[in-house]
Amino acid sequence: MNKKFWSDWLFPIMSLVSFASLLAAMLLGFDSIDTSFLISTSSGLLAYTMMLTVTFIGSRPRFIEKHFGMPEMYEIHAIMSVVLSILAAIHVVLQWNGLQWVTDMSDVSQTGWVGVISLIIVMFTGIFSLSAVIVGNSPTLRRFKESLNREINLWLHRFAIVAIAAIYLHMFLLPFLKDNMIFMVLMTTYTVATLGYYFFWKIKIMASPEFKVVDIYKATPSLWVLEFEPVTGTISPYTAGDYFFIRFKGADITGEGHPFSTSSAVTKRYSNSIEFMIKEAGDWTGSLGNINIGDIATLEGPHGHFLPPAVDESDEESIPYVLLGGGIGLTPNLSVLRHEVEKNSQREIHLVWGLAYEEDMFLLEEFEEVKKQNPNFHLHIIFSNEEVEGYDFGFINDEYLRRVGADKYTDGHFFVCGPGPMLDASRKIFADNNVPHEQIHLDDFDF
Amino acid sequence: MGRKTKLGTQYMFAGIFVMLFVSMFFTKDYIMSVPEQADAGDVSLETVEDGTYTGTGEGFGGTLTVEVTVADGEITDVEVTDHSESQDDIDEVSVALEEVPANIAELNSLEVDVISGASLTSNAIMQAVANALSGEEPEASDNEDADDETEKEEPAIDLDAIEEENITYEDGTYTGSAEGFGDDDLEVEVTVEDGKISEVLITESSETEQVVADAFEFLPQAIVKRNSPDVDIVSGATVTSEALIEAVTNALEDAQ
Repeated sequence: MNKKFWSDWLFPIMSLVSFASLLAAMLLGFDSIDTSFLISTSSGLLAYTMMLTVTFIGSRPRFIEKHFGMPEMYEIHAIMSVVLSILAAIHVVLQWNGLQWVTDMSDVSQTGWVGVISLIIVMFTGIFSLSAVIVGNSPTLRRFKESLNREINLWLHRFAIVAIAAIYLHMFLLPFLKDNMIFMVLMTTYTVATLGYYFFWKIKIMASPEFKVVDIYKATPSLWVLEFEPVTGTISPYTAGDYFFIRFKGADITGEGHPFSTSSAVTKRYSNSIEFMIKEAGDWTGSLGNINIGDIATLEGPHGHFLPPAVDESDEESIPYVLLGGGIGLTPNLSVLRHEVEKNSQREIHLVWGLAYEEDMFLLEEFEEVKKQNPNFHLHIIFSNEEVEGYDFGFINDEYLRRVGADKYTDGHFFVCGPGPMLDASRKIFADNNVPHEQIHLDDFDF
Repeated sequence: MGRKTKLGTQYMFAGIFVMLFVSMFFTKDYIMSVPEQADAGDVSLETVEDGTYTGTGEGFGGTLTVEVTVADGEITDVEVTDHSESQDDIDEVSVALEEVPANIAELNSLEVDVISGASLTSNAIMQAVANALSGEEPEASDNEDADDETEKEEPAIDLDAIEEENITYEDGTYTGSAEGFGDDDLEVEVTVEDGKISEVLITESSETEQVVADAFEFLPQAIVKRNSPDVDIVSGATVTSEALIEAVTNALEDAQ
């Protein structure tokens, strides 16, 4: 079985296995069952086990994430959430008893409804505010998404925990499950394990080491560079191109975690600090001006698998790197480049950087230094929105890569980070030129 | 179809597959359909005079009888007086037998929630209450009439033709059991008076009653008449007949 299969099916299989065991335990208590009852209980149970699984995904289990990648996991999270909503709807429709006044409802119905309402809130916030998986293709939905406050929606998304608790109680109160010990033990085990992992993760975040801002400045009119040093503890060992969730404490900025790729790598220059480059866009990044040197933040991570260890250890002589960065998508590529420089590698490296305007360009001196140290390093900058003297004009495409000599389709490793359209364009280039899957490393920061 | 839609559909089908697979392995008796909801719409409570009414409905294990008390035009009490719903294996049935009558009385309504997993029993209770209040003859008596007719037309066992065997037993009451068609053993109580079998009672059975009604009705009579379990079986209920005969033989072992 390949990695793609597991990244698509690991989590659904978790849900299906726990669903199968719960359904079996439930049926053991019965002699006979009718069709509508079977469909209704099955849809309800499967929806519940899927809720547990997506909550588990939401707790960002690092030991799984490092194999598949966070955007892939969140895509599965979104797809499974849609499926579980359909299942929950089937369950509700089959159990529909007409609209009774709440006080006339049994405890089972009441807890069920608390679960359903919480689930609707969770679904709404997930689909329309947090995830790009579903609204991605519609400009209208995208505008609607941008009009919502992400922080509030993120907070509301935690009603998932309320939904789980309510549905657990709902099943606990069902008369025909009351005496089914096997079912209760299984259900409690799954629920406690999932919620346990979730709270363990939350506590780990709260207890994670503190960092203070040692440097913050604007490198271009819309780009912030932040450097952190640990206050308590040390920097978790990270690989070039990894990312962290940054949460500021006590500063004039909301406390929700936001994911950003490191632009630094573990080098002499960044021996006890870590650097991020953040583009101003949206609420949170817009408030970065309120951050001062000395402010405290926690860093949750590292996450990501931009630079797999096997690739990092590959032969410098024969394996070229092509780093494709669109705008701020330079960040993880810069981290990979700095890591190569630190290794004193003489690898053939092509950094292809697509920018909109001349004012977005910076770091040229550092690149000059890299060239001196590694003659096989080549920088190609191309502007898309204005013509700049001495540089190319247009978008990164197959023809451009061939012209500048970055068409290392047979043996090179491609690292791509940038906005959605750029990722789509590069996927097409790789498909047209039959670049093997293992040689492509995408960082979709849009998730 | 996009990748997301495709995956979502696959997840859904995988779920259905697992559901079918598990339910195939863990369900003994699968009923495909639910009988239609009891039609209680015809009965108007306003026209029902105060009093106590008896009615019947068709449940899971056969006829179910209820006693409904009406006072001041409202249902004040509903009691299931007789039923053959198997309670041992299905907890929901016990719940339904308790909660459905209580809900009917509490809500003063003939249509209350069906208890999940015991929809047949729940509906039977509602049907029986509707039947009681409709003023019609209880269905049970109709059934008895029907049985009488079949008996006249084609008796399962010709009782008149049975000759008594000359066997003497010790007086007393004996119990015996044998494995029948249902999940539980068939248990009988045999009474011997003046050296002869005077009564055969079926005390415990999980046989499907509609199927074996003839065997249960006629075989004990035949055994009493013959004064011996050595009687013909009832066709169409072979397993149950043989079980009943074996159980009586088993009981009488102590009486010889």
